[in-house]
Amino acid sequence: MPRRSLDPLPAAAFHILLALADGDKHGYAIMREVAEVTDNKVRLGPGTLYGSIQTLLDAGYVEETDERADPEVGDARRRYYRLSSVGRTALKAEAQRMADLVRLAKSRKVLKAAHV
Amino acid sequence: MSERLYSLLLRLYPRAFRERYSAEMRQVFRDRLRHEAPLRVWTDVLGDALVSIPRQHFISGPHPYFPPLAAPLHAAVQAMLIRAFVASTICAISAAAMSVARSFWSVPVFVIASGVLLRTLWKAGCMSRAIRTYVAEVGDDSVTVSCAGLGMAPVTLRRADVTAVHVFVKTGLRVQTADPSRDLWVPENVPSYADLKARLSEWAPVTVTPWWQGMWQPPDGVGLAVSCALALLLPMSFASGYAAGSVLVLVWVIAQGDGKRLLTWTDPRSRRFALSLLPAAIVLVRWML
Repeated sequence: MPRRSLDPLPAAAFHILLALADGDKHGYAIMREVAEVTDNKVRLGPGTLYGSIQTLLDAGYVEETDERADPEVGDARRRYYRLSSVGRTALKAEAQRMADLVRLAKSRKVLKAAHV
Repeated sequence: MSERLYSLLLRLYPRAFRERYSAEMRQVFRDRLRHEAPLRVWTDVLGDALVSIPRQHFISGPHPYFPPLAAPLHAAVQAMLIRAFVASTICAISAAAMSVARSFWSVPVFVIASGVLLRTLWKAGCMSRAIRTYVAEVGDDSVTVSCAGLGMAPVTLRRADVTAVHVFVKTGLRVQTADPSRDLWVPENVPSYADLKARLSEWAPVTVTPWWQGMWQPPDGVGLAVSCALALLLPMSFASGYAAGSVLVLVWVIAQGDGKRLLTWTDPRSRRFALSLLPAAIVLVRWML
């Protein structure tokens, strides 16, 4: 079956990896974190969220974990996801690519320094 | 009530995706309802469903010849053209031969209608969107296949993993393993394909399948519903030609290796195969009435 390409990382996949960068999370926690850090500009719907997670799992960028990072919402029914080392490398590469683009935009005076 | 409606919405996702994620998606839905206004949750969910349901169907559509890894362009285009040609030819010939094509215009109608019935065959063409450069490394006790530039982890199979090898002439080969999720598809144009095939044949029994076998896929729910509607609503002369075309296609399928398995009810597609006779049955009932 066809798989979604992760090169370059789609926006949803990038946000998910970013949300997992500081610890394991379940689906709803990822969704909440993405909405919070983007001031609700990016809201991942459940289909997009789990579709992206599936793609990231297939690619080995994230892995499921049985450990419960957040005991308050720890629930045996929930699946938690963890950023793998391959995923962290891909996340770094994508962030670097974006940083390079921003630097380029600044050098062409598309962005002012205050915006960056 | 809200959750029940959401469960119904989840049924629109492909079965494999649903089985894997529906419990989690329902949990997320419950969580959101606890913290957010229902209207907002439903707006988000419906908007997301409009995009993610077709995408998941595209991603997880049945590709009997192109399973786990994507196939190269020439194989995909070749397969699509062959299948489109076979389906169109059969439908057109059947329509003409039955002499129910009382006007010239009925022939394209048969072709289009049968195309709907056979629409799963078109998906082979979608593979062109997933072109990747394959690299195969053949070792003494292991083979590794990777997609260069994709950034995905290479797939490595060892001698002990391989249970069978299915070679599809002019297309590629499928390496069967004890765990079906680890089955590996290797297209024929991989540079070291010959070495790979030779090595795998030392490890496991090889079956060779002609390109024309297994081309037929039973229609899914939508295809079947459209076919039944056509059988019910088309003028009788058109509908009977359409039904005849469909039956001819199914007879042709039965004559293939796959069809024999379908008839013995040992294939998971058997039920859908039987259901695909429904349009023809509707036309028969109309004719009898």
